[in-house]
Amino acid sequence: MSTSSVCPPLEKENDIEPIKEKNIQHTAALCFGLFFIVVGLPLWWKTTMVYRVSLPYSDIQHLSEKQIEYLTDVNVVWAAGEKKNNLDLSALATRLKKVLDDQRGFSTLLATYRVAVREGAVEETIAIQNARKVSDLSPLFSTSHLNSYTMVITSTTEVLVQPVIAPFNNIFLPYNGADAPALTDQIVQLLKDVMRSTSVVKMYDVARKQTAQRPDKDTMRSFRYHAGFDVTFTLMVPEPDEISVHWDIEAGVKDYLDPLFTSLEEYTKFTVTSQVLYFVSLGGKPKKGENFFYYEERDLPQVINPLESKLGSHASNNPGLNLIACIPTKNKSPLHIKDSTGSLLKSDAFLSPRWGGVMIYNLEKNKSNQTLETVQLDMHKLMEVFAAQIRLLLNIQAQISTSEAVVLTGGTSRLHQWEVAGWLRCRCVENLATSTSTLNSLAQLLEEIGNIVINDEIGKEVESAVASIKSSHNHLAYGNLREAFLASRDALRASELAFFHPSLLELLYFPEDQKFAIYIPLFLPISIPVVTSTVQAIKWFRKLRKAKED
Amino acid sequence: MVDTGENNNMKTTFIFNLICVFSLFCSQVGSTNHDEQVKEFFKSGHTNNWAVLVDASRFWFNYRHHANVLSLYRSVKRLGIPDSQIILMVADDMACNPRNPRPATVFNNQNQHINVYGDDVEVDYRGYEVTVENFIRVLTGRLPESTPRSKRLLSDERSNILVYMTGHGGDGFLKFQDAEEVSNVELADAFEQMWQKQRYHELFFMIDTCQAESMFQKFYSPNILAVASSRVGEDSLSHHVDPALGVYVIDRYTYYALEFLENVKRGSKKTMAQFFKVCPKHLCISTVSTRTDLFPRDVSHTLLTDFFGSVRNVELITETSSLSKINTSSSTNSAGKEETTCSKDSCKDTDKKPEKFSYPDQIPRVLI
Repeated sequence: MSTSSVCPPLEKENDIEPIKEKNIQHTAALCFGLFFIVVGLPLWWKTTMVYRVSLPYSDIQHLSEKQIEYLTDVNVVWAAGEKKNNLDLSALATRLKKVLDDQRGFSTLLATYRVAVREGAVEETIAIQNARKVSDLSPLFSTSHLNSYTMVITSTTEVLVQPVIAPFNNIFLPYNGADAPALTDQIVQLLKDVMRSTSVVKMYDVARKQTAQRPDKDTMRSFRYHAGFDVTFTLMVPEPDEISVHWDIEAGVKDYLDPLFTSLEEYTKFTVTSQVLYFVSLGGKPKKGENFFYYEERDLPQVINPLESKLGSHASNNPGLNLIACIPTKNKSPLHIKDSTGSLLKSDAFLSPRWGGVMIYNLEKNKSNQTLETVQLDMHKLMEVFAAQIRLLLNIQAQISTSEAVVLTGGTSRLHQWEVAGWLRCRCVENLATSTSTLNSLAQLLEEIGNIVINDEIGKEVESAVASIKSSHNHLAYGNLREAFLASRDALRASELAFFHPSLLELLYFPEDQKFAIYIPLFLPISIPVVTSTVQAIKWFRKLRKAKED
Repeated sequence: MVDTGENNNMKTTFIFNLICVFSLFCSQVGSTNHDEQVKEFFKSGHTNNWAVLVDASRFWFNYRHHANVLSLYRSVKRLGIPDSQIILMVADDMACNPRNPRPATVFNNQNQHINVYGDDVEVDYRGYEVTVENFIRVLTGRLPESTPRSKRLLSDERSNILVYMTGHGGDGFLKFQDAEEVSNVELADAFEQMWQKQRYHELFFMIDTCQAESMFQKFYSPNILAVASSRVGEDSLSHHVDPALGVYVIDRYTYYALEFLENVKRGSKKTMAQFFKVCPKHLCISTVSTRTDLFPRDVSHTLLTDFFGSVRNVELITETSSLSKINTSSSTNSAGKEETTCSKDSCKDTDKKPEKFSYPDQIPRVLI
């Protein structure tokens, strides 16, 4: 202490200039240091921060736990006249409601019902008695609401001997004198078939990844919902030098399949294309039967493999339905398919799940000895098979478990209202489950991996997906099936876009150790002089202050 | 037994008939029982197969990695996976390398036993497109919107995927080209994201590189089966040098795997357990390592073609839609009616000799 207090005055005279200079130097160093801390550090922090829009995590969490509730209106019309021996309609109503409600189970998918039972009007009863065709009765009880079903209990007449499922959400059930419990069971069974309740549950479980180890045909066969499908019709002509085959596919599709496509055009987009492949035949070696050739069921997977390189679009990312008509070669025809019991398959057709269908088209034997035969394919025969395959692949086909029930068909491929309703219900629930689980996965990923950037666009998509899911839930609970589906479609689109957004990966490949590899050569050469000079400066000023105090 | 009694009088053919009838009887009983069990189900749990094959290394001296990946490509294609469902990433083009004394070929053997380059190889990502980022993007599906279908892995929850990688690796990483590497953590995360988004049903991961085992140690997603050519701390070795090329032709593990796969036919019943034994220690010198704990099925009952082939499920169509026949737009040319219903104009058309298809001449007529 004493030395320091003595020394400065001694040096004062000749050291006044260097001290001043040193003062300036250290002030500058200190300013640099301060600048680095006050401006540099926040700037570095700000610019290297992973940008993340805040997402509605709690909403997503809430949605994934939320029950999906869908409302169905059931109207039972008693039009069986005075047959009600000890049957009370109000008792039937309460019983029906109770049975339907009891079948909910403990799933997060909840079906609720609004049951109304009424006595049929006199004219309705008369109309039923005099009806020549069931299809005449259908408009009388039809409803335009997709989620409302009319169950008409009629007396047994000539045309009504067994349950009939009519196009416009109405079912005719001839009364066989059963008591209330049996009648209720009958109604419930029919209703479940028409509503496709089991299918809805299956689709829901698959989309929520709660799949069984051995998934059944129903869930594997059909495509998941997609906003567009590419339908490709392919005709395979292995020997165009022998037989000249023509098909009027444009007219065929227009006549037979357009009704099907238009019934769904509001919900999904079909792009139809066709092609003819020459000198291409099925793979595998068909076996020889008595006067025909045949494939066995186990040969069929190998049959379609060689075709695959010639199918499918390279332009669109939509799933493709490949529908193939194949003409067998002359020396291998007629060509048939044997099922597992060894009998020949009538349709000569098969399908491969989520891929498409194949039909072997056997030409009739050539009578004349012309060298070059010209054959025009029968579109009706082809389209009957293709329509069935499309219905299965898109999950339109309902499994009716009531064995005696008859489905009223109109002779066109137009979908019935109850088929559209069932399809929408399945798809809506599936889309909701898919988009919810997608959002959930995204949220979980963000938690696990810190480097993922969430830009404004993704944030917007997530917000809109959440909003759409909520609105779809609401619509379902109020029974607005169409609106619910459309909202679920938007939710699916938005959530997929958010999850698969290319920007999510931009920073992913950036491990921690590599950060050091970048920062050290960049910052070390700058930071060492700055830090040391700052420390020096602080020391100097302290010393100076002490000296002044003394 | 009643049948055999009837056949008894035909003494010469008795034994033969007995065997035939008995075997028929057995097979029928077997098939009906089997049918009852599987009627509601398809034979396998997947509906489509995909393959992602990656050769991550560049330059002529890595010829063997190119041969490795093409060996696998050749096998999966031969066994039925179409090109549209194979994503092939190759970092260099050995077939067209000026140092290749046999241009447009890549052999797995110095005796030119198998030309793995084949006739048509559809490379989806090549040269400098083979990057870690692109690889992870393909797996996770986060590709730019303009990416064509052939460069996308459009798998779903019913897809079985084969992922094969080869290149230079170390403990916990595989080098891509000379610039970057994919780490085992990253790869495990990518597979987890695929699982989360239901992008695979089962995944078979196969890797031929040094310390290959380290690449699958971090996996945590379910339904993954993995095999690696070597343990941690071991090198994977190459098989032999082709003096004409001056470099190693192929790696040991893939060489023996290809040898095994060449004997597999479509519809084969060979299992994954058999495939795991293709390269014992005395052939490979490194120890082939497998990981089965994430895979719920028994590998000795898992068919090789579940991953290497494309054996599709099929379902026979028993009921067709009944559509009423419409003759409005196709009446003039519907089948069988040409003679009776054609108008003047269309009759003329049918009289005209139909265009005959024939093979084109090999040598133009003009020259002869």
